[in-house]
This record gives sequence, structure tokens and C-alpha cells, in this order.
Amino acid sequence: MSKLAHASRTALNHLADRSLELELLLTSFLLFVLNLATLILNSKGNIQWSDMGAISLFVALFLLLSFALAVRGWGEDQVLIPIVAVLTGFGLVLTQRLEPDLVTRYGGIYRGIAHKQMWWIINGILLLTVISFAPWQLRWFKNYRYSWLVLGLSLIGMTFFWGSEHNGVRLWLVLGVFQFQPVELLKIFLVIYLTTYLWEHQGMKCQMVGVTEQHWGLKLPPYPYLLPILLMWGLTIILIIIQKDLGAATLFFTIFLVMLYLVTERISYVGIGLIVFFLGAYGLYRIFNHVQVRVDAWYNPWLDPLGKGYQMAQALYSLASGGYVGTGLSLGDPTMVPESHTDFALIALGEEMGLLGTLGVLLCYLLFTLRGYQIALHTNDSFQQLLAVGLTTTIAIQVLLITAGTTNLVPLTGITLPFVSYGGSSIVANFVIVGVLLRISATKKSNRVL
Amino acid sequence: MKAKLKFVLAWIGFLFGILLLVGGLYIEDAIQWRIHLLTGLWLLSLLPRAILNRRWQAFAPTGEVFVTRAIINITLLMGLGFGGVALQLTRNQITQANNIREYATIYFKPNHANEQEQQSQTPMLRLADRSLVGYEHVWPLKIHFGPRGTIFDRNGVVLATNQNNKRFYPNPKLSYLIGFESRLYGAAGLELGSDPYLSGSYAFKPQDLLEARLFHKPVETKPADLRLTLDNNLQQFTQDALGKRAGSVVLLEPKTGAILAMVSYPYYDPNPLVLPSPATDEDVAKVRAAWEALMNRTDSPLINRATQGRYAPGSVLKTLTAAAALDSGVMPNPEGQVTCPDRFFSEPDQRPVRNYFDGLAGYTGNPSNLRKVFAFSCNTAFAQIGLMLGPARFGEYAKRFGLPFADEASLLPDLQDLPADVGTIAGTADFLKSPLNLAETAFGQGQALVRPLDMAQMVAAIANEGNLMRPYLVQEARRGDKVVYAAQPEVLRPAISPQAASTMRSLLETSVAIGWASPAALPGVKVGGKTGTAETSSGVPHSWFVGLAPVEQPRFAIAVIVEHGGEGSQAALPLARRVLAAALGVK
Repeated sequence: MSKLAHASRTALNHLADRSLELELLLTSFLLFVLNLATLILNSKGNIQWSDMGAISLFVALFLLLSFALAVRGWGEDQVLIPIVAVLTGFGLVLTQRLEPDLVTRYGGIYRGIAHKQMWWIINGILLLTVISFAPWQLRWFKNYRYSWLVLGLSLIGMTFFWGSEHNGVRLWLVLGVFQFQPVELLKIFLVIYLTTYLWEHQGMKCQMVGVTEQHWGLKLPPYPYLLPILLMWGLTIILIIIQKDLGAATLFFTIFLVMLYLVTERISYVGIGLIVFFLGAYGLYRIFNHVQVRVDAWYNPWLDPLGKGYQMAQALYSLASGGYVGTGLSLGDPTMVPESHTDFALIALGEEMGLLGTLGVLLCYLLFTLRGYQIALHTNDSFQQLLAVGLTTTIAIQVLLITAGTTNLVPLTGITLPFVSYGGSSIVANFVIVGVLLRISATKKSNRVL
Repeated sequence: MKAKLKFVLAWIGFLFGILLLVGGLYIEDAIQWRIHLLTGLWLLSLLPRAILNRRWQAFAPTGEVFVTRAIINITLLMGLGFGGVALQLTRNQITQANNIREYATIYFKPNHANEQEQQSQTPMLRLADRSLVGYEHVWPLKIHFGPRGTIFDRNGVVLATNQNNKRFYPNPKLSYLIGFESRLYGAAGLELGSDPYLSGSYAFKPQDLLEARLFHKPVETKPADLRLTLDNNLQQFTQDALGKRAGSVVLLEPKTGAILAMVSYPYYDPNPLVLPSPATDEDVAKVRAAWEALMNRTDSPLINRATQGRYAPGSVLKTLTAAAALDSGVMPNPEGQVTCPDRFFSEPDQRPVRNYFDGLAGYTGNPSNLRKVFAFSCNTAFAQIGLMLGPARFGEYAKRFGLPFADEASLLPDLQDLPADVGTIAGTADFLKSPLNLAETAFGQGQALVRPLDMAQMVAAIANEGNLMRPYLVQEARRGDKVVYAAQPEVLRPAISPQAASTMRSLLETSVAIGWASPAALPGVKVGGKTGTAETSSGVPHSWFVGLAPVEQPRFAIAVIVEHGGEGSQAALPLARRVLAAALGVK
């Protein structure tokens, strides 16, 4: 048997092993095209098939990636990519649908958001491909943890000094044509840093169960756990004070608490973390107006529906108009809610696709989360296990914070809805997370690579 | 054993959690709902945690298991979080959607002038009215309304029908009873109260509506015709007898509670209020003018005085006091002794109770008995009887006859076919605790406010062996040959015992035989009755009469009030006599 024939036979076997992903991808494209068709039919000429040139690129890149992964045959998870395809598909349809209304209602700065979103998604897929095929070494992560942290923090610092302001918040770095939010990358660096730090101290756990140390006459966790709690808390507060970025601050702190719980399995540490968090939050509530506005709007948006509660009241109205199946794409009026294309993307979906649409999207995220944790459970390497949990938690917490916030379940903290919201940095960062998760899930790779 | 108990508890918690969450979806208050959600999710988590705990016990406590357990716990937490958001979405989009839309329409009501201006500037902008879009917009419900049902009296005389593309009321004098269906100003009276049958919406079933929405199939209404208990001849006769005096007459069938005649004056003509279909602008202007004219009338013709007029009862309320005294055993014997002084002091330093004129004891005899003081309407005697009954017992009997205290939580009228009010014996139960107030209420003053229907029900109960019946006006609703609703006579409650009722009938008879009600006597038929004179602020009192006939087997119970008609025997009594004579067919 010739070498070539053998190689082609293994490749074929690998392809057969990865058929589930292909089937799911095709199904998700079907949904995507169905949504686009509805949008184009309903928009009465505002949007045309010719505007959708890049769709074929979107579809082709996903298929190519899937094909390439199949040929290599490392046995990555087959559900993550189709879920991401569904969600980014929703995001594309949504920006395409909102763009004309946003332009007429809020002005020309919104022109072209659909194309930008498409461009970022395509970049995201390319990045995902790069991450999937680059020869990552595990020690790169394990040995340079402070470099990751410093890189992330310096990005934030750069924003503080050279960033551009938008809505009174300084969150963006301008890179040529595109603006970039370093916070999105910081969340990945932070997870990597936390993973390495906690992984190193994980060995202490077995001796540590039931151990507390006395600091300043109080029973507290030992320093290796106490110090990061305080450090994270400080970082959170600083983010809120300097950047006014409630969403990122809450997200970081929650990720930290989850990972702390993971390595120590001690609820009390989480409890201490939550107590300091709420103390800090209460202090900030008393001091800062932008925190007060969020809390007041959450408590009862109808007390000041034309002022503080305007966005929330409009969001509730929008959701309530959706009912079971929604108004139909482009038949509602979701741009009445400010930021309908970013933070309130789920609300826009809820108005036009109804409860079925929102629950469907929520289900996608739930599946993603379950799959992420399942990947963590099936990994033998404890470092990769921590990393997988950290990254999955990042996505899950982000989804929970923003969906619960925009539906008035908890106070709103501005953060994007992963894969659906408009915004380049968020899209790219989330694709990176998916890439790393895929690498972790690969069962037939060498032990030294990630 | 302990593990098993834990499991059972976890299951109970789980089910209770589901109950809390589902119930919470329908709570309007957001804070309460959040508490429900937190508690419910925690309860839901009990069961999976119990199951997991049992599994972990099978493993040795190695580091590996620790991390696994932590991951599973985190997964569970995230799952619960997603569940919470899903429930919140369900609440916002389905169960509380209408409340939210109501709020929103209050605060975000579009200013129409501005809207047009904006639209002309930016024609691209779609300003969707959110209240019109959504569920109803995607799957609208089409209803094909059939012609509205006809209303007949008990003998088939048409009282309301459709003519020339509009609702037509042949007898405008029945306006307070039949009401109208205006198409511009809503509906009133029976047209409002029995609208489900007249319009046919009673037949809508949820599954039909769902089917209609899903398949865009119009829903057919099935309007039904109404047959009333009303006797149009008696009604006409009574209306003419009342003439142009403000007041009301109610004639009941004691055995069933059926309303045979219910008259009120003044009335209005409902026909000009009805908008034809299709309507021109001219029609709308006409209806509007007629409505304005009706609203400007000062004699409140829209009020059905029989069911919505609340008057001081005067001496007719002595009937209630006497019935209470007989039934409760305070004075079980109608010949029981009671005095009728000119003055009676309920409390030493309060104003005394007085009779209509001094020297009434000359008619009743001294000492007198219950039968005679009732026949000659002696206030001082009934004041004493009221005090003997005491506030609790008196209030209890008033309630049995359908006269509760005004501050009681549920004041639902007995009559369900028409818009109706409720008569009350006093503002609060505390009012009767003062002896003077109790004494005055017992003979018909104080705070009691009663409707003519209440008084008719009271004598009807006495006529019906003490059982208070639910009054009703709609005999049946019929669609072609099919009876879709048939009234069933309903005993609301026994007010007094049959013996006490029988004694009361003889007391009423005595009142006609020897007392002030004697002009009510009819040849060949024994009539029972009681007059009443209710003082008013303007000087001329309201004239009351209640009665029943024939005393042995009562077929009719009547209550009459003529506003500012003078003494009871002046206006109300002759009117009642004429109506009873016509009903019984005697000259």
C-alpha cells in the first residue's frame, strides 16, 4: 500500500469523524439564510440580496475551518463552532436590520455598521483558524503570567492616556479606521493570569482544607488567596472609578470568584469576596452618579421613565411588544431603545422574534456553557481544566450579566452580548476564547501543546 | 432512613420551587417577583444537589473529585442563572406584557402633531405604535359579528331589536332597564349586563380563538335572544301609574325572585344615542349632540332608581325590625306587650324619640302589643324593640335581609343582570352601638340607605316562607331553538323562619285591616302592607309602601317609592294598590 493512499484513507476517516460539525453548521446556515430572507422580504427594498455579498465568505470560511480541522483530525469539540455560527449569524442579521433605522433615528455615524460587523466576524474566523493551527506551547502560558497581566493592564493604561471618548466613557483605543476596546482583551489575559496563579497554589489545597490564618485578629484565608482577593477588588474599583466601566469590573470580579471557588472549593472565600464587593459597590453607589442611575433604573424604571429609567422602560416596552413570536424581522421598532445594537441586542431580538427567539438564543448560550464545562471535565491536565473553566465562565457570566441586566432582573452593567452584539473588540476576543477552548478540547494532540 | 427523608424533602422543595416560580410570573410587583425567583431557584437546586451529594459519597475524596465537584456545582449555578433569565423573559414578554404596555402607553403616548411633523421630515422613519404590533399584529383575530340578539318580555313583546342597520328600542320608557348599545358611547343597562349573550361572545372558547389566530379563520359569533321575566303590560301600566313623578316601583314574584315589573322615572330615549352601521359624519354628529343633551340633564335619568337609588327607608324598615324581633325570640308572640309612649329616652341625656304625632297610644291602646304598634307605626315602641334586639342581633338580621354595613369588604349586589348598587343599614357596625342610633335605625331613621329593590326583596322573603331569593330579570337566552342560558331561582339565604314569616304576613295584613295601610285593601283579596314616610332635607318627605298579596299564598311582592310624595299613604300606597289590583286582575 502506497504512502499516499494510506494518508488519504486516514484523512477520509478523520472527515467521517467530524461529520456532526458539518451537519450542525449547515443547519445553522439554513437558519441564517431564512432570517436574511425574512429581513429582505420585510424591508421593502431597503435591504437587498446584493448587500449581502460577504455572506458567502462567512459561510465559506466556517466550512473551510471545519474541513481543515477535520483533515488534521485532533478531535476537537464539534458543537462549539456551530453554536458560534448560529449566534454570529443572529448578530449579522440584527446589525443589518438595525442599520437603516439607526441611521434615520440617530444619524450617519451608524452608516455601515453591518459591513463592519461582517468584517470583524470574518477576521474572527480567520483568527480562530490561526489559533487552531498555531503551535502553542503550554509553558508559554504557565511561565509568563505577569507578562500577560502587565500587557493587559498597560493596554488599559494606554486607553486612559490616549483613548478616545464615547458616551462620556473612555474605553476605546483608535487603531487606524477601527476603534478598539482593550478591556475585551484584558479579560482573556486576566483569565490566563488567574489560571496560572491559582494553578500554582492549587497544591496547597489538600493541606489547607479547614485552615484559616489569623490576620489582624481576624480569621481570614491565607495570604496566597487573600492577597488576590484584595488585588482583584482594588482593580475592580479602579476600573469603575477611572473608566466608569461597571460591566467589565463586575465581570472580572465574578470570574475571579468562580475560579477561586474552583481551586479551593470553599464557599466562605466566595462569601468574603461577595461581601467586599457589595461593600465597595455600596460605597460607589453613594459616591458616583453613574452607579446610582443604574441602580435606580433597575429598582423601578417607571419612577422616572423619561429620565433615568428611559432606556430600561423602553426595553421593557420593546420586550412586551414581542409576545410569543415577535413582530417579525424589521416590523417592530427596536431602535427606540438606546444601544439596541450593542448592549440591548437581546431586547431587539425579543421584540422582533419574540419569546421564541430570545429563549432560542439563551439556549445556544446554555449549550455553549455546558459544552465548555464538559470540555473542562474531560481534560486530564489540571492547568487546561482551570483555563477551560475560566474561559467558559467568562462567556457565561458575560451573557448572564447582560441578559439579566437588560431584562431588569439585576442592575444593568454595560457589557456586550457575546457574538451577537455589534462591536469588533468583543467579537475578536470571543473568537479567541472559542479558539483556546477548541484547543483544550482536542483529545489527540501532544501533551506539551495547548 | 435519614438519606431517604432528605430526598423526600428535596423533592418537596423542588415541586414547591416550581410552584413559587410559576406563581411569581403572575405577580405584578417586581420586588416580590425577584424574591420569588431567588427562593424558587434555591428550592429547585435542592434536588440536583441531593442527587449529586449521594454520588460524591461513592467516590474517595481525592483532589480529582474535588475539582470535578466544583465544576459540576458551577455548571448547576450557571444553569440556574440561565433559567432565571429565561423566566424573566417569559414574564416580560408574556405574563406581565400587558401591564408593561399599559405603563408604557401612559408615559410614552405619542404626540400626534409631532409624529406627523417628524414623518414629513424623514419619510424613511417608521414610527411603529408598539401597542398595535406584536402578538396581535402577527396573528390578528378576526371576528364576524352577527346581528345582535333581540330582547323579548315574558310574553314575546319585543323590547330591543335591530332595524335599518341600527339597534332599535320600541319602548323608550324602558331606557333605565334595557339601556342602549351606542357603538360610540358604549353600552348601558341590560345591553351591558347581558352583552355576552346579545353579542354572542359567550360562545368563544379558547381553542377556537387559538385556531382562528393560527389559520386566519374568522370567528363567527353566535348572538342569542333574551327572554325577560318582565311583563310588558304590567310594566306599562305601572309606568303610567307612576306618571311624571320621580320614583320607582319594583314588583317581584316571591317564590322565584323574578322581576315582573321594575319602573323608574325619569327616563330618556336611547334611540338617538345609537350610531347606525355604516355611519356617516352626520350620524356621528347627531349621536354626539344627543349624548351631550343627555349629559346636561339635571334629573339623572341614567340612574335606574330601583337598583341604584339609595333612599332613607322610613317606617317600612319597621317590617325588618318586627321580623327580627319575632324570629330571634325577643318578642316571639305578636300579641307580646309593648308600650307606645309619646317620648322615649334611649339614653337619659339624649334627645328623645318621638312619634309622628303625640297621642298615638289612643290608636294602639296602652299597653299595646306588637301587632298594633306595627299597624299604627309607633316609633317609640320600635325604638324599644330595637334596643331589646341589641346592635349585634339587629345588624345580623339586616345583613340577612341584604342590608350590610357600608364599610364591609365585599358589597356585591344580589342582582347580576343589571348594573346595581347595594343598600346598607349603617356606615359601620360601631354606629349601632350607640343606643340612640340603634333606636332610630330600628324605626327607619339613622344611616340606613335602601334601594326599592331591597324593600321588595324584604317583603318577598316574608312572602316566601322567610327565604330571600336572588332577583333576576333574564329568564333565558335562546339561539334559535337552543336554550343557551336558563335562569334558576336561587335561595340566597333564609332570612327568618317560616313561622316568623307567617306571623309577619299576619302583621302586614293587620296593618291593612286596621292600621294606616287600610286604604290598600282590595275587594276579594287579602292584602298585606306597610307605609313609610322618610324625612328629607327639603321638607316634603319621600313616600314609601311595601306590600304583598294575596296574604295566604302571596303571588306578588311590591315596593314603591315616590320621591317627595308626602306621607306613605298619600302617594305610594294608592299607586301600589293600583298595580296590585292590575296584577291580580281585580277592580
